[in-house]
Amino acid sequence: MSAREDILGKIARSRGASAGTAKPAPLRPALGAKEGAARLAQFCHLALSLGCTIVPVREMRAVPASLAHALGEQSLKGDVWLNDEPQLTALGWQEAGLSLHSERGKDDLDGVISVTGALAGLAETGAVIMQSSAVHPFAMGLLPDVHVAVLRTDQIVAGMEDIWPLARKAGGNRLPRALSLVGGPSRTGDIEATLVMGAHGPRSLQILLVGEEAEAALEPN
Amino acid sequence: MHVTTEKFHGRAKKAIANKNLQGGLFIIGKIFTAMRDHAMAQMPEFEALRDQARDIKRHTLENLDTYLQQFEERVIENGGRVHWARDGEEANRIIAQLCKEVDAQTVIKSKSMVTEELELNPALEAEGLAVTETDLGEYIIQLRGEKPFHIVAPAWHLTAGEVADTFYEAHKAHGRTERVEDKVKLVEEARIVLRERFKKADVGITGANFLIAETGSIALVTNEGNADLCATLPRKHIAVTGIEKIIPTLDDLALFWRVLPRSATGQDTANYLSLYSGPRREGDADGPESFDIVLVDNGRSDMLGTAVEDMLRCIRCGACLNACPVFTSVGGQTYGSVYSGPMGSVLTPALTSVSQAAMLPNASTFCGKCEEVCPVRIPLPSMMRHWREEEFSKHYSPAAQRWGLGLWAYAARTPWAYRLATTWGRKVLALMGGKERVAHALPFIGKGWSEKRDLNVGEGATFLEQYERRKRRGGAKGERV
Repeated sequence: MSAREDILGKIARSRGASAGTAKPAPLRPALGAKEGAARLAQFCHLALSLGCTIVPVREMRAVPASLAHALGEQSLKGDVWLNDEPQLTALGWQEAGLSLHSERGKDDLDGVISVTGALAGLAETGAVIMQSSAVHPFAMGLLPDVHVAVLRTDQIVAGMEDIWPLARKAGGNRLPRALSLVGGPSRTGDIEATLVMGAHGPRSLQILLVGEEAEAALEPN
Repeated sequence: MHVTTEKFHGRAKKAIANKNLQGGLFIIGKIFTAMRDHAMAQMPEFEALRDQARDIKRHTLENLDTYLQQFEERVIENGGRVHWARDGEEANRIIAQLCKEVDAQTVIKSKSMVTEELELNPALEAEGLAVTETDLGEYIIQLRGEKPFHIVAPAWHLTAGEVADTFYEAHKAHGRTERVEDKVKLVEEARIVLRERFKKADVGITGANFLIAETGSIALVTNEGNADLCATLPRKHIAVTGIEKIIPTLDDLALFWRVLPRSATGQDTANYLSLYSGPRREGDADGPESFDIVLVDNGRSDMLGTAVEDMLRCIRCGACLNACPVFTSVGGQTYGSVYSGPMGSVLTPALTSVSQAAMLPNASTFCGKCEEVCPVRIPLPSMMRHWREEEFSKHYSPAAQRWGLGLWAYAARTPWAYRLATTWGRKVLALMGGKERVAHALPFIGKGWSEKRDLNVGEGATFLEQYERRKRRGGAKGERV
């Protein structure tokens, strides 16, 4: 008998004794059910508390200039690795003084600054949702030192349950190969329980939050 | 799965005398439980979510074969493969074979307790593969040749100084000549060394925190992002996990993703909550060429329909370890099993045998804190009691203990013997206690007690004696005496 038949047979034989427990429909906590301005404000608050930075940008066209300015403030060079999302490649990066790089090898992406879009932002936890696709090499959110995610305010969803339909749509009626809820830069607490940032993934996650209401959402109440 | 639980006592003594270790245990016992409480307070629905988590797991275990087959179908539709392993040996053989398929030489791994249980690393190394753990804690204990100290935080028994010594020795080969003790620099050093391994590895092996039947996906939870690198960079991704990790739907996953990080580390979310659903798709810019899932039984199906079936609900958060007064006194390595603390004390005898692991269910005060914090409400104390009963009925416990318990049982069921023993016991103790009413040195079985502490002896008569006396003084039937 194959291992599969063996294991499934054993499980089937143990059945019957147990009562029929109905599967509950999981409830959605209030933290994952915010609407409108409250949703946006909670996303910003939680993303910042996870160690992200957020730069508000009024409109998509202004993204390259905002990025160039933000990198300048951090004394970072304007060499960026842009993924292939049409909404990003269509923008005027050179005009903003940035140099684009298109190499995609593991060594090429190691330690650089990557600029990508995102599937969504999650107000429940402050995470940025990344997915693999033809236009987004998944490693671009993992190997670089700095990951810049361009996120529109209308992409922010309330709870985890809201991600699944978006992901299925993006993957052609099924989930994409890889889907990550990235809650801030990589970190570890493995030595003496002390939190240290930049364990294996990017050392910083910088969100360019695009939309007219972005700036107001970041202002402290 | 090899266990050395019989050495519990000796290791416990050493652990209690180890000041560095006690410092780490203090952090776990105090800070982690406080962080969990804080995270719970932020989510008022948490208790209701725990009930739901318990019921979803119960429902899934009652229909385990159906969900596993559904999962398998979806994985195949996604272009992946599912392999079934009855035991550790079979699992290790399958995984080694999968590595050979791609002529692999190097393997990177993210933390997986199942692969610790299987002792996968030595099995792969015996096949000539170079295996590197990439979770920082696991990497440290791999270099030191140790077993994990805690299912979530494998290297918390070590100080930064000890890690510095380990890295200094191990990283000389990588051209690093300076011994650093600063934690940020230690993390940086591991990042640099491991980054090269990530980029060169042929195979990435991960565990799976959850398997989703609805989509054929595996769910991974990390803070470092190492599992995502393992699942993305190498040519082949192999996920190894137990059959009980399955849950029905993505909405169920949302529930467990809410419950797990809060219970484990008191975080509202882990940094990387990820789903992997097959190999690289047509047109995808990157990803592994193949995706294999190894479903491990290794004693789990035998637990179904038994007194310890509820243990299969465990999501390995470690909350019961952090809450346990025994674990936070002696640490994980004392247990002599990769699964330690209350969950390990229930699971280890189930995966090995009571005769091999009877010491563990006895390492409990039955205070009930573990059950109080368990996100899936596993009745851990009553299952530890079950193992103790098994141990007694199968005559595994030591003769003196059995003899003592037998004597007690006889006295408890034989009123005249009980009265005789308590009456004379009281008189003898009163004599030994003298005026200060404290006994300093007890004979026979009491020696173990009085070697470490004094015994305050009782005053006056026993309860039964007082009861009899008052009854004689005129307590009529039905009246309070």
